[in-house]
Amino acid sequence: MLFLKTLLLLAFAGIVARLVNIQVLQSEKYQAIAKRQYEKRFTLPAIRGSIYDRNGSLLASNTVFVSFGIDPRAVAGRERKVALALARILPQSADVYEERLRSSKHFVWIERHVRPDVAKQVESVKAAPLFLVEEPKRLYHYDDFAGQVIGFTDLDNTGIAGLEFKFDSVLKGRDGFAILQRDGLGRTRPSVDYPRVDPCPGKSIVLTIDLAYQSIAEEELRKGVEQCKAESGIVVMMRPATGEILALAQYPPVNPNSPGTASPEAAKVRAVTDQFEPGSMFKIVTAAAGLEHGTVRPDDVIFAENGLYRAKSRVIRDSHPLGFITFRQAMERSSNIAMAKVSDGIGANQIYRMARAFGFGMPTGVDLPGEIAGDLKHPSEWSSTTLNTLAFGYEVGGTPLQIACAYGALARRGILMRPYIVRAILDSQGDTLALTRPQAIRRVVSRETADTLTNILCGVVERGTGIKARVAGLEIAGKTGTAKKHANGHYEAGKFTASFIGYLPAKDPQLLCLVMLDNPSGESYYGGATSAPVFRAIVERILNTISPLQMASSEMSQPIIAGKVPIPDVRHLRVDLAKKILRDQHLAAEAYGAHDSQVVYRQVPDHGELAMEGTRVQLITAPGEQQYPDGTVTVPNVRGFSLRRAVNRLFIDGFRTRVEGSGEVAAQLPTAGERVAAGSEITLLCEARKMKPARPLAHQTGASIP
Amino acid sequence: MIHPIRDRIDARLLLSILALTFLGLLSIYSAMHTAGLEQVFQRQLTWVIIGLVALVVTSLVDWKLWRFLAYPIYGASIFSLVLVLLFGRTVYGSTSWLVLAGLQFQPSEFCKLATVLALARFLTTPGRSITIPKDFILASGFVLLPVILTMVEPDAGTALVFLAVYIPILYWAGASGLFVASLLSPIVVVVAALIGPAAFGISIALVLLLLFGLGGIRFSSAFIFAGSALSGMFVQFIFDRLAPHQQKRILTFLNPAVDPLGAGYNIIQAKIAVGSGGLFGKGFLHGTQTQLRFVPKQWTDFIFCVPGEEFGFVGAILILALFAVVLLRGLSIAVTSRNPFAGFVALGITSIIGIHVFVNIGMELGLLPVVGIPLPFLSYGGSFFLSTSLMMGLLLNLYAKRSEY
Repeated sequence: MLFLKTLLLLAFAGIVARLVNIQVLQSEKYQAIAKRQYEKRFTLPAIRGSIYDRNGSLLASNTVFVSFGIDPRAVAGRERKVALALARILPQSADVYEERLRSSKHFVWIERHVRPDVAKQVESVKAAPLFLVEEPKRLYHYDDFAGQVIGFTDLDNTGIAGLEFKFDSVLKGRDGFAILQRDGLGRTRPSVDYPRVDPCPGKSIVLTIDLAYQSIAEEELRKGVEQCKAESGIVVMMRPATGEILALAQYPPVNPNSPGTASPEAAKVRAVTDQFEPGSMFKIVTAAAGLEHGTVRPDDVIFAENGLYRAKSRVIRDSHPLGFITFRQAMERSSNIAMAKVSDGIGANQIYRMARAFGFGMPTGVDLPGEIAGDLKHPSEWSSTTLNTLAFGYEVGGTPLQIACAYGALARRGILMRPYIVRAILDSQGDTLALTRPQAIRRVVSRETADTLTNILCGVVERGTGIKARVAGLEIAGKTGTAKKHANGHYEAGKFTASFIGYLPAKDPQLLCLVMLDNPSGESYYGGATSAPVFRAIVERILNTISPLQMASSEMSQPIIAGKVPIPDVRHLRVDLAKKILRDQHLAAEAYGAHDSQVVYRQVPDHGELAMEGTRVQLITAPGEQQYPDGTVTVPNVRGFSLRRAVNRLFIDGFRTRVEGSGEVAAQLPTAGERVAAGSEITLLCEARKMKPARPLAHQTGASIP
Repeated sequence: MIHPIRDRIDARLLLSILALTFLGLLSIYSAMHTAGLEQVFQRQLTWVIIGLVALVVTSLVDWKLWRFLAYPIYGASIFSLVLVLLFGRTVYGSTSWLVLAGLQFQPSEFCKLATVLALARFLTTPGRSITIPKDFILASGFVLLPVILTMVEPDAGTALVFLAVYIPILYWAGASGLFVASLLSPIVVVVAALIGPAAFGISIALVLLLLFGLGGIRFSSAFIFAGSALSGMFVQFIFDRLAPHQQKRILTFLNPAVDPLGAGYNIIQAKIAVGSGGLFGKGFLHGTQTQLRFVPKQWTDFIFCVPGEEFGFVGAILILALFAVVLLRGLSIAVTSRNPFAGFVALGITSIIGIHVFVNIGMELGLLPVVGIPLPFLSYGGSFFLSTSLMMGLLLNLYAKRSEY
């Protein structure tokens, strides 16, 4: 008996021990396992934001690529017919599809990753019962258009190059998730107990890039590179007034739709990641320093040593020997010797400071990835010859964008602007969330110095080294540059960077364009002979394609998508308050009115309308509620006003209010026009607002992208 | 003074039975709740009512009738097992159902009680003794007959119950410890040998310890030891020569965890369900694993997971405590019965229930191999509930008449 009881006890003890172990000690572990089993978490991917050009043309967006599969048995006997139908739409020949359809397998892929527009047509092939597998993918609508700038994403849709990388956190959005319950049979069912977090769609970005400018730049650059047998090339186009980058072309191109084919080197935005010795293009720094401090004047005569000048331990040469020339001519003919001589008079510190002021040696702050500062040595690190060689652009490194910005400062009459390429960030509804405003960094040189230099640079194009950039009827300020290529600590014999930079029209520059060809090995390696013609071709095409009127007009870069603001309703507000509200919306205000009243009673344009920033809003003040000599005043009309506005309006005139109900004022006592004692109480009878015809609300409007 | 009613009704036993039956109904209701099988619960409810009526009736029938009818009942149940093999209905691969007048039932469930009755009758017949080899062989025959018939079905679980019940009965009948050990130890060693060398070593050591402890005749001890060790090694020898898939089948039987998607799936899911219940459970009808039907066969063999998950550790312990009351009352009745037959029957019934409880819960908690036998009072199944009710009714009657000779 004891034996059996012991046996019983041992068995119970074993089971209890087990229960303690799994239900008490390891309970959390099993709860976690259970949760993993019955909760199935689905990621709800956020839609990545799109990328638009400045005019709202879609450059990058998301699409669903479709893969088509089929069970070949379903078309048995009709293979040829179906194959022919498919071959009419899809890229391969009917024979290829027929072979696939004759497969003995139960599933074959007909075609994978078909673009959505093509896929639509494929779906219309009724003869074939196809399986569709949808695969979301980033689509770059113009293939290699601005490929390096736009960049690309990896398979997980994370930006890894270009603006896709730089603005990844903006474009990405936030994935949401839903939890479904899954049962033991593998079926899922939605559960009301679990929260569903909707994805937060990514924001879109609007570039300053202009589709038309960019394509012209890319085409002309390609032609130029081919003609000059160059290795590569870069074109930077900017709007000097604002610092907006209008085009940023780079050859060889990269197609973000197939990023695997691009080398990492080619995928860089070289205009900001690579530095070049600017060569003669840097002479504006020397000239600016000399002119600004009065050490040289345009008409000062300098002896150019007939092409060979021994300066200290170094020999300086001019490619075209010159004798006595003016400083203006030295710039026009690009004399290195003259610049070296002038630099002695200016001094190291002045030139260094001017170079810094133009932005050399520090990042421009552009919103592109991988920007470098460029090399600009401090005078304390200079050798005895650095001053002279720096004067014509050696021993200094600048990115193409830095050089473009430096010239932009001259075009902007002395003010350096921060370059930018993203002009606006839009939410998924197309409403503007953030707008990049042009940002002046500093005044580099006086207006006079800038004008003088522009004038000199016009001579460069008119009769100097940049003559091949000339466009009839247009005054262009420009400068050539031909620099020996610097690699591994020494200059490579016979290898040059040939450049031309210019802006136009010289009087009121709307466009700045830098063309840089890397190692042209054709007939000439001079910037004046290689890059200047590319510049001219670009400018001519832009003038022909885009109307000169638009070209000259500052409206060109007025925001089309963004930059328009809805005019707020300021009626019945005090004028000073109205003005402040309008100022906050970047609108100007002007008050009119014969009376001394402080209250706005009409506004032009009307509220809710979209207007350009800076638009002047006229505020017409009310024929005031004048106090009569007997101390009475006229009651204003507030019927139909929202309660808040009515109270506000009456408060301004010193009335007290008593409110009954809520919503809109349906009636008022005393009625409008009655004369009552100043400071009387007005009773407002309110009722719920009636539905009114929709009128754009101030905070909701904003043009959306088509 | 003896209270007349308390003296005639074992209240603790009866209340435990009713409590377990109620918990069983709750569990089945919960298990089929989301499965959309309301008729499962309805049917079980019907069986519970029938069973409780049967319990009351049996408790009123004098046990002496059972002794009188022991052999005919045994004969009839063996005959029904043969009928099952000839005309039975196959469910889950084993032919263990008989359809009679539109009603399905499992004769093997009733055969357990019949075998206990026959053994009790046989072993308490004057002049019979388990120590006499001829009687031992005859007694074993009573057990082996249903074992063989249920193995053919095949229903290994039920066959195992017959064998397992035989051990305490042998002990009760007065077989020496050494004798019982000689029967048990080869089985233990063989199973251990299949699990692995380490288990094999430990089992050999245990057998040695047991033999020394019992301190019987040295010759027999050595014989038993050698027999156990040899059979263990023989099984290993055979096992090594089996085809891999056969080896795998044996291994997954002994340790289902090695096959998580196959044989082990049920075990793993049962452990997750019970484990995730934690201390106080997830609440009635709120067990995720139960309601989402992660545990297959949950309302039959894996019913313990339902209270385990929904009522947690507390609920599981409550059920175990109720079973402990039932089993201890059974043992107590076996001891206090003055008539040897009555004592035998009480012990046999207690053994049947005990084996079912420990093998089933042990299996659900992953302590024992998956042997498909149900949990008394809780598992869904009419025949089983009815046969359990009959046994409990008989036990109650034995209690009431315990002082009769």
